[in-house]
Amino acid sequence: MATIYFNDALRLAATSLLDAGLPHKSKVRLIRDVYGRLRFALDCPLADYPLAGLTQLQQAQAALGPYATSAEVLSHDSFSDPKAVFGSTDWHRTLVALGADEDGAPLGIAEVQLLDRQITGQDWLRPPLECGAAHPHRFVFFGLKGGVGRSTALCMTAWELAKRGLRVLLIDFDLESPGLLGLLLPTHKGAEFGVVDWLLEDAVGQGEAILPRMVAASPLSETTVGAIRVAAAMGRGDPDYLAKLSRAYADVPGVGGPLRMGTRMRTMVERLEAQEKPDVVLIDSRAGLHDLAAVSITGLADTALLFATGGAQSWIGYRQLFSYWQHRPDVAQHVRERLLIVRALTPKSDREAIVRTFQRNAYELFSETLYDELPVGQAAADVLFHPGEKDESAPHFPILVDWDARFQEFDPMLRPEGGGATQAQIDGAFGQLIERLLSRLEGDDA
Amino acid sequence: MSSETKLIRQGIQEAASALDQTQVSARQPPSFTYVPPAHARALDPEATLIEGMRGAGKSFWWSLLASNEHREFVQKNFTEARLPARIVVRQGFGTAFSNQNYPDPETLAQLVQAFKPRIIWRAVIATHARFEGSFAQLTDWPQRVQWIASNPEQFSVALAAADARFEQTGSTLLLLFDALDRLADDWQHIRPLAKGLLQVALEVRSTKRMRCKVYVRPDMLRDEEIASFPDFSKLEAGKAILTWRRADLYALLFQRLGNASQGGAPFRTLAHALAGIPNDLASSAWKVPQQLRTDEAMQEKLFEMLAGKAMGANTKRGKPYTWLVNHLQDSMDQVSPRSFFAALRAAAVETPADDLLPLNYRGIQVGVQQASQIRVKEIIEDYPWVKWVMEPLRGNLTVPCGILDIEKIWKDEQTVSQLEGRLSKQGDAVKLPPQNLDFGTSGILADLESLGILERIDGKRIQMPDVYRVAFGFGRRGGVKPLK
Repeated sequence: MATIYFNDALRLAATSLLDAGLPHKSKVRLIRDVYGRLRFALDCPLADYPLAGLTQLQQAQAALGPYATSAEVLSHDSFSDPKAVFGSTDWHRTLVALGADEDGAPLGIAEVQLLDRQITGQDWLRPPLECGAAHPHRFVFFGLKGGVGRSTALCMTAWELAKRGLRVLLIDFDLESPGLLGLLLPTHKGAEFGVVDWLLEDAVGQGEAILPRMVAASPLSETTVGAIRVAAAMGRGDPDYLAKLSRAYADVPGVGGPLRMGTRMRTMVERLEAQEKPDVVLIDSRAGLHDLAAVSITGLADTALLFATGGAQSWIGYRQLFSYWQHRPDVAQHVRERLLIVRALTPKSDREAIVRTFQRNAYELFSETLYDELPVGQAAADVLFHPGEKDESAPHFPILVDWDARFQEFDPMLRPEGGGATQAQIDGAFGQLIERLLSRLEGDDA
Repeated sequence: MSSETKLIRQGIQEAASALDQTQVSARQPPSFTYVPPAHARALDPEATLIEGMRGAGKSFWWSLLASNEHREFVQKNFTEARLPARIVVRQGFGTAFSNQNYPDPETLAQLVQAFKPRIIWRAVIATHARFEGSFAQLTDWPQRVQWIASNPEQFSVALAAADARFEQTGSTLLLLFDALDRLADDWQHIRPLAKGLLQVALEVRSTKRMRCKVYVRPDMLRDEEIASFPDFSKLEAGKAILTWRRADLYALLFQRLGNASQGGAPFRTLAHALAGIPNDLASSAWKVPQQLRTDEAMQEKLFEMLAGKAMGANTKRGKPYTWLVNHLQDSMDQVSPRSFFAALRAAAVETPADDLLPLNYRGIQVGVQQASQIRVKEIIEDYPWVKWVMEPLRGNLTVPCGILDIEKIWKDEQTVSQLEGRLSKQGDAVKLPPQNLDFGTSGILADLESLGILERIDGKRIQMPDVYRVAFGFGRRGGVKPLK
């Protein structure tokens, strides 16, 4: 018998559920543990499930080799609080590709109910339960890798929005690279505490106390109508940042079970919003497929700006993320309309062809993973989401941010005659981004 | 909902409905006319070659310029079109087949058997230039063409004399030619007639007071057998192109809506308040203010007052101003005014009577779908072969699809081999086959592409804009499949 690898296990389990003879199929679910091992779980007391079916499931489970924990099939009897387990919001309708037959013809797709217990990354699949309280529009700035001008774009956005009279709250989630927002807040002007401090103090019940001492005003907003308020990753002159960072992601005991990092980050953002009363919140997300990015994109963002440069790495990474969502259609439907792709560092030479290629690639990525398939003769409408390739408001329609050496080592406090940037130059590089974000804000109260 | 809202909704229907058919430009109120910047250049008598896609307005201007009342409106309100005060406009070929102003296709078919196309067109020129002497006595086309063929030198003399008469009266003769694909039933006969016409149009430019204006589709200008004669580059250099940018479409809407008998007045009040200029309707016709012709941001603000800010609960699904136009684009990003107004009219009809705005987003969605149906119906009327090649594909494909998938269906259904037979049985409708049929299926795909119906991407696949996809019965590929 062929060796069973991670990639095979879920497919085999899903295939075994297709057997027409299997009773009460809707009761049979799958739980995958942190090692990737699978178990069938019956959403009923064991006694309610026909014995023949049970035997069949036990055999199928045993056939998963190293990816089966034991032959035991779980049921309501296996848990002290079956309601909590089977009612968890982490169950997802999950699509599993069944591979191909011997002739290479695809065998189609099966649908299973899967509870995926992961060490990290759970937050990629946790959209907020319907909105909660009203909050200011949250823009998350995300890039698969660093060095694409994400932080610069974020700072310029904050500044431009403040010039237009908005009160901007900026929260730095990039805990692994503190201080990248120096453009907005020189370290010596920072607040006493940072985001990392809140995560530690909250764990011992003191989060609320440091909240007012986490936010500082950016010197950039001294001359703007609106304010820029910054909650940095690190407090001013922190003597022991790494010791804190290594503890920051821990789950914390709570009244109704452990509070996960994602939940805690959301709480912090909500408290900061309540304290600062901003018109708009900008979140600098950590780069890469990290949990902090998962929390901010899936759990917090009203709009997630996905920075990409058009190289193969950009597309491969985003395709992985999008198809992860694609296989959980309920999550995909929740997330997709919040995304906006940004073509970062757009070069000035050969621009038209580069932009055209990027547009096409972005459209194909979104349409093949996150957009709805449109049946023959049917247009996209309220239920079906599939904007046209040239639809300027669509998630895939790239916002162009220009490459401009001027903004690489940029001092926004410098006047143009002293070598700083003029408004026209800022508009040239970041104008599209600002316009698109403003229209998003405006659309909230349409 | 105010009574103004209802009036403006009616006004949108009124503004939209006059644009139903090609021939109506002379029947719509003159004040419904708007001249976009690119079109102003195409109206200038000095622009001889006018390129325009299907639906760009070739026949529209062909018909409108010949109407004195409408031309006067343009002369007065759009001076950038540089139409001289004294001008005689005549139609030298087009779809209003009369045999009076020009030989109809049947007559042309007879004439080409005995005469070169250039001789035929010179006879048309001579007729409208009112050649004197023996020519003036002739009453039918064969006689006139025969005269030109027999009297080559006298033609030049008479042409100069006619030019001098126009010079004396300070007037200009402008001759309009349209619908070149109706010159004959097949490309073999169209090509020499079209080429001869272009040559004669160039010839006429040697006069002072006579000019031709030939409206041509871009694919005909790419045809080597039409556009390859020694001095063609001279025509090409002065070519004007009829395009509709987004701002042009909205300016046209505002021009018409502002002059609608219902809703015109409340709409003008909105427009003037926004543009910050006094609302003084001195004459009987209102002219869309300059800012509302080209400033897209201001246009969008005004359109928001008619259709709201968002295509849904928020702008994540887009904004009406851009959404409407984006969803009507063909594969060359072109939107014909007729599609635009078809969608607007349906949107006005679909919007519930008690809605707070003249148009709501659901109405616009329905409008776009109806415009798609209308668009397909029109293109099939113009090019019946499109129907024969698209019908076998209906319901069978999801775009993007492979070129091979299409070719397989055509092969299985013997679509190509049956095409010409089917067209010849069409009765008196258009019998024209695809221009590149000689190149087989790839020729047909090229022709569909040049009509803006589809687009070939990376050499292997076919993409299709929604404006055609929906009505031609294709699906669109997506990562999230419908629940089974």
